[in-house]
Order: sequence, then structure tokens, then C-alpha cells
Amino acid sequence: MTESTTTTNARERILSRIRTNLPAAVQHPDVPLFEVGGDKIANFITKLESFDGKAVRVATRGEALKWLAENIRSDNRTVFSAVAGFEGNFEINDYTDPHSANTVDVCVARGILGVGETGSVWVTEESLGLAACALFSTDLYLLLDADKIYSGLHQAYRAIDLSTGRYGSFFTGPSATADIEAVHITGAQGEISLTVILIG
Amino acid sequence: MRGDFELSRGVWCNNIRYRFNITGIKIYYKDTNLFLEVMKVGFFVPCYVDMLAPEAAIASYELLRRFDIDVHYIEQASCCGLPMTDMGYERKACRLENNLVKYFSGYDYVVIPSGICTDQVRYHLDSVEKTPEVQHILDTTHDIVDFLHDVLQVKSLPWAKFPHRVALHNGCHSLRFLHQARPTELMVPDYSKTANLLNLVEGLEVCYATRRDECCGFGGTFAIWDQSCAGQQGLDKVSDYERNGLKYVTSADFSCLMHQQGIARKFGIDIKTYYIAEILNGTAVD
Amino acid sequence: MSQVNQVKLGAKFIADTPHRVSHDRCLWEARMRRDRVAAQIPEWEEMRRLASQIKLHTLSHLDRYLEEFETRLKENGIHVHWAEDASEHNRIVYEIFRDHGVRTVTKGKSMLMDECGMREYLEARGIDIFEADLGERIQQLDNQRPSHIVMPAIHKLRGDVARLFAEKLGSDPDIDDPHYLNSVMRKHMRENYIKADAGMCGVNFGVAETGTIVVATNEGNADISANVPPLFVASMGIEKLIPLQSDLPLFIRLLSRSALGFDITQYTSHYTRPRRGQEMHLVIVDNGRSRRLGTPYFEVLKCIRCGACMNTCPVFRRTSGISYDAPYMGPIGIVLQPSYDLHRYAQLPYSCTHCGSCGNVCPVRVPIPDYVFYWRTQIVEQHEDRLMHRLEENGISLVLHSSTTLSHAEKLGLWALRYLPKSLLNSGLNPWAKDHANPEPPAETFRQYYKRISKENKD
Repeated sequence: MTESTTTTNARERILSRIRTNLPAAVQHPDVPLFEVGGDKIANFITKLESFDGKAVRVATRGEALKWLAENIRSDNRTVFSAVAGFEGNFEINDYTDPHSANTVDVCVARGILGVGETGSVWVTEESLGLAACALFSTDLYLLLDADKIYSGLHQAYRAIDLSTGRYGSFFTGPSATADIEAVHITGAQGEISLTVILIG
Repeated sequence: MRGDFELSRGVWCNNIRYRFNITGIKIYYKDTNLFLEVMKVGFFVPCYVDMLAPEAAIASYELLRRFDIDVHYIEQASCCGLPMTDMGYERKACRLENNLVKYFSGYDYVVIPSGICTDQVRYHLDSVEKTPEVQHILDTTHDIVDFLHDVLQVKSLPWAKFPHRVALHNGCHSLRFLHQARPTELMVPDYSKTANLLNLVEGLEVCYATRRDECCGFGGTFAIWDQSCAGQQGLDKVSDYERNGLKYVTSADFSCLMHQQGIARKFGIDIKTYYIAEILNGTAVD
Repeated sequence: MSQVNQVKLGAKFIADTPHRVSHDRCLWEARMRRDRVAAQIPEWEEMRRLASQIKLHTLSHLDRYLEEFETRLKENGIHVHWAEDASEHNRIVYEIFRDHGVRTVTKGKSMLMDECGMREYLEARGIDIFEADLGERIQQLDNQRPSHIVMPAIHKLRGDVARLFAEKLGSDPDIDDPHYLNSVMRKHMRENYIKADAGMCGVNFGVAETGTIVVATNEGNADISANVPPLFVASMGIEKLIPLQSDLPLFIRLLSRSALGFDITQYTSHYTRPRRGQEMHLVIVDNGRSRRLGTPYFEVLKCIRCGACMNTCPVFRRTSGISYDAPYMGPIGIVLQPSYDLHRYAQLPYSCTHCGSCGNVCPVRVPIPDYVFYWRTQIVEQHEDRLMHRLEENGISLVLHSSTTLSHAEKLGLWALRYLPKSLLNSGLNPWAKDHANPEPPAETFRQYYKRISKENKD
């Protein structure tokens, strides 16, 4: 018996057992678009900071690039940038092995949208350039248009289409753990610092 | 016409029941348009209260008698079946449960001075067939707190005085299954029937342990099943009172108090426990 | 297999005061944080109702949604496998790895893979599995199961971890600062990520409409495992589905707030297609779930594995997850484990004071307290109680069934309280005496009082 036939049979057996055992039908409820009160941008910054993230506000994209140039030192550090107008020193192409991103110290990338309720930034494989760079970096910088901040998760998910993408994630503050005596530690396996540069 | 009350049962006002004779509605009693009748209440004393805390039952009985109602002690019934149901012996509880319903019939209300047993009677008589008559009996069975607060709607207790800070321990069954107060887990508007009643007592200040409604470990048969854990839970609870300087503890579940008092005595922690009716009846002595 | 004696195992943990106190405090704080963040959301209780209803809806149309999900996954280029049970799951995963020549795997947390005993299976076949979640890795190094669904090593103290890391990872045994220990783990895992041939993780939600799997973590380990190696394998129980993308925010809003009391996890990640140059597999696992669907306790399948029931459970907090000696522990564990092996887990449903708190914190309203009673009845009816039958229970049922015998029992009990020597009452024969001073016997029972005053009233 080949592998594919066993799993096909497993599929049929599982589905048929499910059909035999289905509980009484329950309707799918209408889920309201629960609103989150208060100022979206102010909420975003408060929540981001509560997750140990930093927020920097600038007026224009030009100012954002200027801020990056002034604040990111590339001497002795490997910098990857997925943002046009800001050059890094770590290049990728379609064949880059993500394992090699292990050397990245600083990653600069775009956020697609933000969530006021949680201080999260939605990033995708495209907006990150190479997800491994962001995940392996020590310091992660995300550029985000302030007018792309939605009040809550319900509103944010309405603005996303999961069916078209590959990898997409809500990043909320730098990686963290509380696995030892529930002591909160910033910087577990992923980035140790996260700065969101809010434009506008 | 159909209001919130059932027409065949009439409507209560100032402890007097008014029944209306309306064409098409079956009337069980005399065929008059309006008559008065004193509320007849069955009083069931669960086994452990009878054995170990008669003062709780006596206070409850006396308290009920203060409200001009006709209180009858249900002598034949002894146990609600909780120990059996609790351990999974539903079949063994069967005969007991059927008897219980039989003894409970013929009253306007049945009142039980124990939250845990009331929960058992109202929601866990699984081996009893729920005919409309049986369901009516179960629906009109109340813990004494619910009865005072919701049925009699008591607004004053002029005889009760207890000038102390008192820790209110809402037993888990009274709290989460009889809904006598808002459990801290639920994000609903705050309410507490037990605190409302205690606030009617002159001089009494309602206080709480820091972990206001964490289980104290009695849990029916649990305290016998797992003594280490039940003992630790109880010790944590009474230590919590001690840290908050609370010496007096009250609850609508005597079982929790018995557990807490026993542990406090064993560990030399100075607390005094009172079943809630003792305080409401003005018979609690400090 | 022998029966798990949670009471005995729990007593050991209770007696260890430093561990017990720390464990209880950490979890109670999580519960308090949960209360605070939930209180900030006016629609919290409505969200719980809606989430529960969506899960019930999905379960009542599970065949349809699984088929839809599978179709989307295949369209998106994800390889789909179906496993009827744990051994089939493990075999499928092994064959994928074997065919790709995989030697080293970094793995995010997965309750399902633990349930299947996958790690041991693969390790026995020469594949190195590195748990990438800090708590899970601690437990792997200590050769012990996770003690909590979301905080696998929460029953350990920092000193335990320092000793373990010193022994296994060569760190400084004298430094027990969690920040240092975390940095040891970070460095150690970087070495493993670089050589990993494959990554694995579990699944929090599967979205049928889009064929997306959603994974929520704090550390970023699952994201690295999924995004770096050329091969990514995830496993998912059939009950993890939700129908629509628009259902997701409800669950994401509930999950981390219930679990740890934080608004969201640091990485709430969605995988719809393999990344460029990567091969992605999803194993859909039954392992008893489809059978559970047709039982009175089928609502356990709504569980989203947040661990809120554990944080609030007074027994769990004092005895730790280790005492349950099972993949699923705490309140959800005691109503789930008996369905895997009734005999082995027959005592677990008794590790419950029936306080009802778990049902109130559950974000999808699994009626855990009702199921505790359900299982106790099943255990008694199927005579699984023979190992644990306690005398007093039978005694109670015998003496309490009528008021005539009650008065005898009462007299006996009161007589015992009054006259038996204290030494006997306080001995092991009377379980009540271990932690309690015996109640004072009353002078008069209510029954006697009532007879007396009735007589007095007549006279």
C-alpha cells in the first residue's frame, strides 16, 4: 500500500465518521464590527509601548528616511533594508538562503497597516523583503503610514485579504517570553527591539 | 394576558398571594374572585447542617418565622444526594432524589439553609423525571439568601446588629451556580445579594479576602478525596483573612465555613465563622 | 498502563512550598491580568458567546469546512495529509523528513504533536528535534512533559533552569537570572536555526475560506522555524477550523487575553502559501476527535488551548500540571484525558472542587464543570472506580437514604465526635483530621431542637 492511498483512506474514514457524528446544526452568528473607542493613533502608541516597542513620529516619508539615516549606524553591523531610499549592506535576491539572514543585525521594513487596539503592525513577506531578516535581526524598524492605523482588530482584518498572500503577521513589540517564573523578558528568539516610525 | 408570573399561581404582594379568577384559566382552589392565603414554606435542613451546625438551621428557621410566613420543617427529608452525585453515583442517588421531590411538594416555596445543597436540588436531580409539577417544585426551591432577597425582597432587618468588619465568603456553588453575586471572572455589572442583605445589618462592614472568590477547597467530597489540596486551599484562604486583619467570616455555605474554621483552629489562626442567617437573624455572638 | 494518581503526585508538589508558592502566584497573576484586560472590553461576554457559537457552527458542519479548507490548501500549493491517529501522524511526518533527508528540525509549540508523542518517535529514528519555545525546550532538556499549555515550565524555579542549562548547555550554574538564562537559550537556538533542515509548529486556527493557518506565539520561534528552513511541516487537529477570515479577529482578541492577560501575542502569524523556494505540508489529525463529536461532551472540541482554565483552577495552581501526568492537564485535561483512556485517567475528573471558575473564564464557554460530573458518572457506571473507591461514600449513601436511618447515623457520628479518643479521631483513619481540627459536636441537632420547641409550643 502506498503512502498516498493510506492517507486518502484516512481522509475518507475521518470525514465519514464526522458525518455520522455531526451534532445538531448551529447557525453562524452575525459578528458585529466591534469598535474600539479613543484616538486610534494615540491608542496605537500606548499599546505598542506597553509591549516594549518604540514609536517615532515623523511628518513625511522623507523625514522618515532622514531619521533612519541619522539613527542607524551601519559600521560593523549588517543592515538589511526593504525600504526604497534607505540602503543597507545585506543584499538578497530570489535565491537567497534564509539561513544566511542569521547575520543580520538591523532590519528596516515596511508595515502595511496598524491596529490601535493592540499596537500591532501587519507585515507580509513582501513588505519585509525576506521575513528571515526581520526575525533574525536584533533591531527591527518598521515604517508605517499613520493613516493606515485601524481602530481595532475587526477593522484591521477587514482591510486584509489572507487568500492572496503567503506569510503575513501582526508584529506587536519585540519578541518576548515569560517562561521562567513568569518574569517578562524582552528579546526572546526574534528581534530584541522594535521601533515603529509613524509617518503623518 | 400573560405577565411575568404564572396566572395559575397568582401573584405575591407583601407576603400575601392574590389569585385572580379569569375565565379560561384553571383555578386549583376555591372558586372565588379573590382570596388571601399565608405563604406556606417548607424548610429543609440538609444532613450535615442538622448534624454539625444546628445553630445555622435554628437561626434560619427563626429568621423565616419573623416574616409572618407559615414555616414547616420537612422532617422526612435528610439528604439532597450531593455526596453521591458528586462522586458520580447517580444511580444510588436516584431513590433519594425521588423521595426528596415527594417531600418537597405541597409548599409555595421550599427554603434550604445551604447554597451547595440548593444547587444540587435545583440543577442536579438528574435521575428525577422533570414533569411540570416536579419542575415547579425545583423552581420554587431556594437557598435562604435568594429567598430573602428575591422572594421576600427584604429591605430591613431591624433586629440585626453586628458591629464588625466581616469577611464575606461567597461559596462557589452559591456564587457561580446560584448566581448570588457576580463572580470576578464574569464581565457583567456588579451585584451581590449576600452583600445587600449583610448591608442591612447595623454596624456591619462587608469585607473580602484579597482573592475574593477563590475556592476554599471544601468542594463537597473533595475535602475528603484530596486532603492535601483541600487543606492547602483552606490554609491559603484563612491566611488571606489574617493578612487583611479579618477575624469574622460569613458565608451562605456552612460547609465552606466548617472547612475554614477547622483549618484555622488546627493552624492557630484566630477567625470566627458565622452562617449568614445567624448574622441576619441577630443571633451571632462574637 | 497504571492509573494516574493525581492526588498523590499533587501532594508532592504541595509539600514543596517554594515551588508551589511561585507556581500559584505566577498563574494567579495571569488570571488577574486576564480580568483587567477583559474588563476593558465592553463586549467581552458577547464575544465569548459569539466565539462559542462560531465553534459550534463549525463543528456541526465540520465535514464541509474540512473539505473546503483542503481544497484551498491544495490550490495554494500546500501538501495536505490526513492522519487517523497518533501513530499515523508520526509516520507521515517521519516519511516527509526521510524523503527530504532531514536531520535537524526546529519546532514551535504544538499540543497536538505532544499528544501524538511525535518527538520521541522521530528522535528514535535519528532526527534531532529542537524545541524552540523556551519553556518547551526546558522541559525537553529535563525529559519531562510540559506542565501547562502555554507556559510549559512554569512549575520550575529559576534555580532549576540554571542547573539544567549548566548541565545540558554549559551555562554558568551560579547565574539564575532569567534574562541570562534566556540569552543562553537565544544563543543555543541560533546555532540550531542555522543548521535546521526543516521547521515545524502547531496551529491555533485554520481558516476554511482562505486555506490559511494561524499561529500565535510570543518568542518568534515558530516564525523562524516556518520561515527559514526549506521545508515546513505543521500539524492541526480537525477541530481547529473556523469558517471565515472575518471570524478570526474575535478569536485573536480572546486568545492571548484569556491565556496570559495580554492584548495579543507578539507574533500572530498567518501562512497561506509556502514562501518562495519552500515546501509546506499540513497534517490534519483526527486521533479520536471525530468520535468525540458524537458524544454528550463534544463541546470540548471548541477548546482553543489558551490555558485560562488552568490559571484559574485552585487545584491546578497548587498541584502543577506535572501531577496530571498527561498531555492535557488542569480543568480541560480532566475532561479530555478520560476520552483517550478511561482506565488510565479515571481519577482525574475527581481532581476538581467544582468551583465553576474554569467555565467562566473559558473564552469559548466549554461547559467544563458539567463534563466533570459527566465523567464521574461514566467512571462509576463502567466500574472504573474500583481502584479508588472510598468507604465513606458507600457509608454515606447507606445511612442517608431515609430519615429514620439518618437519625441513627447522626447519633453515631455525634457519639463518635463526643466520645472517641482524640488520638483515634486525629489518626489516619479519619481523613478529615489531617488538616482540620474536628468540628465541635453540637449539644442538640436541629431535629431535636424542632421536636423540643414543637412540644413546648403545644404544652
